[in-house]
Formats: sequence, structure tokens, C-alpha cells
Amino acid sequence: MITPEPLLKIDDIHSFYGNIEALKGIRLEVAEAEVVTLIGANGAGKSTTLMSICGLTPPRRGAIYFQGEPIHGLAPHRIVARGIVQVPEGRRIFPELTVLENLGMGAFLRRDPQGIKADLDDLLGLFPILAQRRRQPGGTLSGGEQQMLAIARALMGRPRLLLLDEPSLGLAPLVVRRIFETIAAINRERRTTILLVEQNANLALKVAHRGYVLENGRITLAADAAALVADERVRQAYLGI
Amino acid sequence: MNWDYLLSLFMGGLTRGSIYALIALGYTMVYGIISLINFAHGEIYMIGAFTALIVIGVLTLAGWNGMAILLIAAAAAVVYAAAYGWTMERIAYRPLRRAPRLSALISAIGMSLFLQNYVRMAQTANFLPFPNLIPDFACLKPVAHIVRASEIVIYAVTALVMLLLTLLVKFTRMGKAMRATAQDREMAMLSGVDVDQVISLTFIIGSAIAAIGGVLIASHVGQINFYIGFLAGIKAFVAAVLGGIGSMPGAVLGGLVLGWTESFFTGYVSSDYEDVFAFLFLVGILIFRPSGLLGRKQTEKV
Repeated sequence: MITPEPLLKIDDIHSFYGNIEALKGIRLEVAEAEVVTLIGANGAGKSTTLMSICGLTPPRRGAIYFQGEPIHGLAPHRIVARGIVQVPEGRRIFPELTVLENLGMGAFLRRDPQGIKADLDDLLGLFPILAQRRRQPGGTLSGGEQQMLAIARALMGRPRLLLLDEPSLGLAPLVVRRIFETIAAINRERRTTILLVEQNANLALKVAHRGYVLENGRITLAADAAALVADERVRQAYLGI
Repeated sequence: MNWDYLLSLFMGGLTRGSIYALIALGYTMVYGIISLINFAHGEIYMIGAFTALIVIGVLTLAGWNGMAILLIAAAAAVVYAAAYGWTMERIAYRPLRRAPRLSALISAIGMSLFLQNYVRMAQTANFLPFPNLIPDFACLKPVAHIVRASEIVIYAVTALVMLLLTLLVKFTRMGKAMRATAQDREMAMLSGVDVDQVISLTFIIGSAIAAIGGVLIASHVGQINFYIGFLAGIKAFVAAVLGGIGSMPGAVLGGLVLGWTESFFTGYVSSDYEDVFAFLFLVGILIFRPSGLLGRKQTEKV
């Protein structure tokens, strides 16, 4: 189920918040064009894992390889330059930049004006609501609109690996469904590799091919999504069945 | 009512206000990006004036004269002050990036004292005459009692600097990176912005603008010493807070309001309590508008 050379390989990383060891030796792999989800309770270390990959909470021990090359220890902007783009928890829209400027920030490292323009038109077609609000400051958008803007902003960077942190957080069920349909479509149509962190395990396991269960900074379970859905422990702890 | 007198006070206020605004921009830009009050910023302005004076001295000895000297001296001051600003951030603030805010603030005060005393030792503690190299334009003769040529130059240069800065921040790639960093530094990093580079650039731009202010006002007032950065720095800080710290239009507005307030107060009430009045005014504004005239919500923060 794992290709010989995974796109992302995390090898036994330990990351800290101050003196608290948030990740106690995580190993995981994500193959090209895969959707992998990381499920777990609050404080299990899901967001820290993503922040470690991006270099904002660099691991003190262990290694992270992207396309076979080590990226741990690189500055965050260099990691973005490799093609790893995160949609962080809480969306983090630049509140006083317009929708267009926010999208422009997603393409900050790109130098191909024509390609950027084409992607912008493409994404505004995919998210018509953003086209309507293109001149509005990002901070005036609703939660669902901001989530779409955050995803569109990330796609403006043409990521090789898209990291999504809690995209369903604080959104109405109908909006959540729309967001997850979009996530599935991004993987299907653009073959973008996705690592999805989500508390809503039900949803996450529907779009993901594989999943990892994270508990107290350790991976306790790794399997195909279907196997996880069927797993008795996962059903009890995370699916509420 | 003496209208000429009123008008001359208005123009004088505009002159002061322009200089406050130029310095306040540096305070507010740095605050917007790294939430630090760079108390050594006034010293950069002073160093700009000193650099210009030295270059003017050398070029005068070499037989140059007039506006050409001033332009070269100003250019040298801008480059030199920018280098100081960049270095200051590197050695006094960057190592403290993850430290509590108070540490960086203390480092800033230390930097300020160090630069003042460094200039005092390397140069002199006395006031030095600064030649006014701006020619008296003939067309200004009829209004000479209201406004001087050097003041007209100050208005023009200040307006030009603000226009260029606005264009830079609004439309260039680096300007967008600066705004993004000011609004959410982590997210800017996640968008691929090299935040260290943005911070360095902010110090360079702020310092260059302060140096322009230093050269202009030195040329207008006619003398400088190592201490001019202190009071000008504090006043400009007041202007930045008055306008709403972090807001660039606020810094300009705050500078002008403070300049006019001081000018009218000294002109109509008393020149003895000029500085006291500036701070009383600040206290008054902050009681009614704690976030400054252009508070955070309505403005662009850089």
C-alpha cells in the first residue's frame, strides 16, 4: 500500500512546545496522490505534526524527508518553496488584505504571472463566492467563505503536498459537506497529495485512503481508511458508534 | 486678528509635523511588523543628520557648492542610516525575537543610549552649525515672513516620500509581504514569506526615511548635536501613538496634528511649556481614543 519512495516520510520526530514534548516519536508516510488523515483527540499532537512539517515547530529529534530529501531544519519559507503548503487551523486569512490579495499571497513564491492568472481564474470559477467578494477584505467573509478562501489561497501555490488542519472547525454541517467535497475533488482532479488533520473522524475517513490515529503524541494505529472505520477501538473512541 | 502670523504658525506647524511624520513612520512600521517600540529610532535620525554634515564638510573642502552637495550628502545619510538600522536589528533585536517583549524594549533603550554616547565621543558634545544649502527661491520673496524655502522643500520631500512609500506598500511584492507579516506573521511564513528579510527591509526603509527627516530639519534649523534624536524621537513616538501605532496614515496624521498643536500653542500661549503641552495633548487624546486617531480597526497596519 505504500510506494517504495513516499512523497513525505516522517521518521521518529520529537517536537516540543516549551518543555512539553508534544510529539513523542512520530513515524508516518504519505505517498504521491494519496489522501492520508491524522485523527485523534484534542491535544494529541495533530496540529503540532503539521507545524513540524512546515518548520514552524521544528522537531528536536528525528527526520522529515520530502521527495527523498531532508527538510527538517529548513526555514519555513524554504519548505513552502519545496511545495508543501498548509491551510492552518482557524483558516488564518489576512484580515485586512482583500480576497484577491489573499489569493495573491498564496502565489507569493511563484514567478509565472501567466500561470498565476490562469490559476486565479480557475479557482474563482471553482469558488464563485470568492469571485463575488474579490475586493472585500478577507476579515469580512463568513467562516465558510474564509475556509474556501484559505483552501483556494493554498492551491494558488500549486502545492505538491497540501496540509489541511481541521477544515471543518466551527462550520455549519452543510458548509462542511461542501468543503469535504472540494477536498475530494482537489485530490481526484488535480492529483494533489493531501495530509488531512481532522477531529471529525467520520468525515475524514470518508475522503481519506489511509489514516493514522494519534494519541498523546504517539501513533497508535495505522491502516487503510476502510479498516479504521471497521476497527472497534476507532469506532468507540472517534466515530461515536 | 493677524492673518499672516496665523499662517506662519500654520506653516511652521506643517514643517514640524512633516518631520515628526517622517520619523513616526519608522516607529509605526517597526511596531506593525514586530510589535517593538524601537526607542533607538530617534538616534538613526540624528546619525543621518551627522552623516550629512560630515559629507557636506568634506565636499565643501573639495570645492563643491550648492544643491549638489546637499543631494549627495542626503544620499549618503540615507545609505548610512539604513545600514545602521539594519545592523541594529541584527545585533540588538533579532537575538531577542523569541524573548519576552520587555527584553527587546530594554535592548532598544540601551541601543539608544549607546548610539547617543557613541556620537558624542566620536564627534562632539557641542552644537555644530549645519549649513543651509537650500537656495532662497526668488518667487518666495513676497511670502518670506510666512514660509521659507527650506520649508517648501520639506513639504515637497515629505509628500514625495509618503507617495513612494504608499506605492511600495500597496503594490510591490515586498510591500504585500510586509502587510501580510504585520497581520499574521506565522501565516506569512506559511505563504513563503522570508520574515527575517521583511523585518530587515522594514528597518532599512524606516531608517532611510528618518535620515531624510534628519537632513531636512538640520538644514532648516541650522545646527545639530548628538542629542537631537532624543526629543525628536520621543515626539515622533507621541505622533505615532496619537495616530494609532501600527497605522501608516495614522503616523502621518499624528505627526501633523502634533506639529500644528505645538506651533499654535507656542505662538499664542507660551513657548516655555511647548513640550509639556505636546504630552498633555497626547494624554487627552488617549483618554478619549485609546487606540489613537486612526485606531487599528479602520486602518491598514504595517
